Amino acid sequence: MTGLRWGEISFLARLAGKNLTRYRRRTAITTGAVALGVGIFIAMTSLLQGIRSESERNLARYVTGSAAIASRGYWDDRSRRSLDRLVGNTSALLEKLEKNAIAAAPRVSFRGELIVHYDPYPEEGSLFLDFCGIDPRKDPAVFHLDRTIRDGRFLRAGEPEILLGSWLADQLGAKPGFPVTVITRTRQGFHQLLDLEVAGIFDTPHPGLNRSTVYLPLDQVQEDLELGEAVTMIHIALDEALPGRGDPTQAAQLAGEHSPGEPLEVLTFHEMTREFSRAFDMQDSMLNAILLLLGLIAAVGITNTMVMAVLEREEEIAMMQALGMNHRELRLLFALEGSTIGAIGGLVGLVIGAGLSWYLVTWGIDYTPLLEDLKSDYPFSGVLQGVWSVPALAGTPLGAICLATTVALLPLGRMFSLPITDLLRGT
Amino acid sequence: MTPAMIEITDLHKSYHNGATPVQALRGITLSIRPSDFLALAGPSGSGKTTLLNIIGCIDQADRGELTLAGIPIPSRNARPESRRQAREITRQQVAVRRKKIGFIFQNFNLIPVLTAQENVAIALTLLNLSPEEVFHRSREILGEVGLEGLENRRPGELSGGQQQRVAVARALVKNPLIVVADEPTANLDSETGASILNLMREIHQRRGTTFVFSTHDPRVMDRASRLCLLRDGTLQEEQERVLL
Ligand SMILES: Nc1ncnc2c1ncn2[C@@H]1O[C@H](COP(=O)(O)OP(=O)(O)O)[C@@H](O)[C@H]1O
Ligand SMILES: [Mg+2]
Repeated sequence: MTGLRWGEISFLARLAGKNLTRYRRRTAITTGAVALGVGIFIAMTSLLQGIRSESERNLARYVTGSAAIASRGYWDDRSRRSLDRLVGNTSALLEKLEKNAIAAAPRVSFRGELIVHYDPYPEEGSLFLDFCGIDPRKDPAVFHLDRTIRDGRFLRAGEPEILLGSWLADQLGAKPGFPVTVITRTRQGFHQLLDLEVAGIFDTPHPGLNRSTVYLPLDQVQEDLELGEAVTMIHIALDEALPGRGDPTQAAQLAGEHSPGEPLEVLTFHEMTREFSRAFDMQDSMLNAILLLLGLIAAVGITNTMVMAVLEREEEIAMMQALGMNHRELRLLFALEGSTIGAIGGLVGLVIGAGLSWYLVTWGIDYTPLLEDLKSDYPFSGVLQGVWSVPALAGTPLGAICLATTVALLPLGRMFSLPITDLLRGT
Repeated sequence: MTPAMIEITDLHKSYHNGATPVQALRGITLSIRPSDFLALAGPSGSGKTTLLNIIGCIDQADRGELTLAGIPIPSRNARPESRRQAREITRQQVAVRRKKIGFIFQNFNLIPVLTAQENVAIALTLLNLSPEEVFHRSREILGEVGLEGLENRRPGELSGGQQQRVAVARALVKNPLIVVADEPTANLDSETGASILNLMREIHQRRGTTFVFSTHDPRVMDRASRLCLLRDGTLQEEQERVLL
């Protein structure tokens, strides 16, 4: 038994190509369906990956940093915003981190009520919000908040002032210089009333922050809440190309050495963003479901085409068998027809997908007008920006080829079970 | 006595797909010599196609013996003991068809998207030949069947007679031991049919290829060197004459 030779394979390849020209319309429709499926999938991957990476970037830039040091147990219990589990003796720890060239930003997160009054505000108002004390000098080493000031200015240490998010400020009608009152509790649980002034209005690409987080100078917060020099977390910036890639071991070591009586832990980026990741993993599985659906549609289309091709060519297939062509050669012929459909469809789909990706990368989809009503808590802005997803660009067309090739072989099995003589008699 | 090219002994075949089984062949014994230009005649349903299919190795007899140029072709009663053996038999049948048998069909059965030359070449590409040899041999044979200059036409651009000439070329191009033709002229007008038959006879005489074909056209029967008459799956009568 000899294997297939090149001359024969190239003959079959030519025959396969010519066979596809028999029913141009049908071939075109099937190829078009494959192309559309491939193109849509590439574009969707581009968009979802773009959203994911923008979200991760925004979380790192405005909420988590590369990693953070917290008192053990604080993170798991953070929804209570209690001030029981704090990082104490921070100046010594910050000094150690600084000595080891690790950029660090201490922050205090707490809950409170923001109250504004008629004149200068257009209406009376009171809102429960997230408050965050930040060190105006150290914070910019880890976070980008200072770069997002839309009106007014960034915070100054020692000043009784506040930064409001753009959406919140617009809702309240707040402007720099306006007074606000904040009611919260001290570490011991006593009510505390703070009279502050709006220093500036920030506008980050993280809509949740713009809506419900308010920043104040750390030293003011520590004094008013009677925290001493304690903070809820120290966020650090590591040398990393993408969020979560940096190595936090040195920071962990330093945190471990820090006053051994106090149990500190280092929270990695991934630990702090687990919930978002879960949401995105769900999107990934949705994407996979869509892939499956698109694959199924393409498979049905190709199967249909190939079933018709086999049925219409029953007698011809029988003739080729009578000439001595074996099942392997006929399978190769149909596999080549299927894979050609897959390859052309995949290639056109690649072009469509690349075009859509290009649009998404360059322009994105602006849905800002919808955003404020949607109350999205996702950390990405109103412009959905795509990325170039090389795995999707390369993998999807290949997947289409494999699928088309496999599916093309299905109707042959039935044909091979019928006697050649019956097929030849078929007229 | 020239040695037999095909030795057929007590061949039986019945079909079971209806309510009552149809006995298509009921004990055919026939010895075909290399020099034969043999016509199978007989009314419709007499078993001509069935016999040709068995000789051409695209069908299997239920019982009886068939030897093709010394190669025994098993019938169904020689039940294969295993699937592996059954596959081996199929493989052998395919190999015999590929190398030793040329088919000519009633309705030409050319591939519409291929040119005349490519339709002929398809039989050769299965034979491990170089592309150059495939090309030259298929051109040469097309010249021999009188289609010089029409090599690049597709079947749709050829007349019925020309299409059957392409089919004759396709059957002959691999120099088969035997050419099996089931009613090769039935789809042609009598004049064209006669010319196809003349072509087959010419080639038979020039190359010494053995031909077995079926027909129910008396004028075609007249041109055979040997005429076997089938009726209800049995061999009724044999005539021999010298080809003029
Ligand atoms: N696939 C089949 N299934 C059932 N009966 C068949 C089949 N093929 C042939 N027959 C029957 O076998 C007999 C011989 O048929 P066939 O060999 O085609 O005769 P011929 O070619 O001389 O017309 C006929 O009665 C025909 O109806
Ligand atoms: Mg017949």
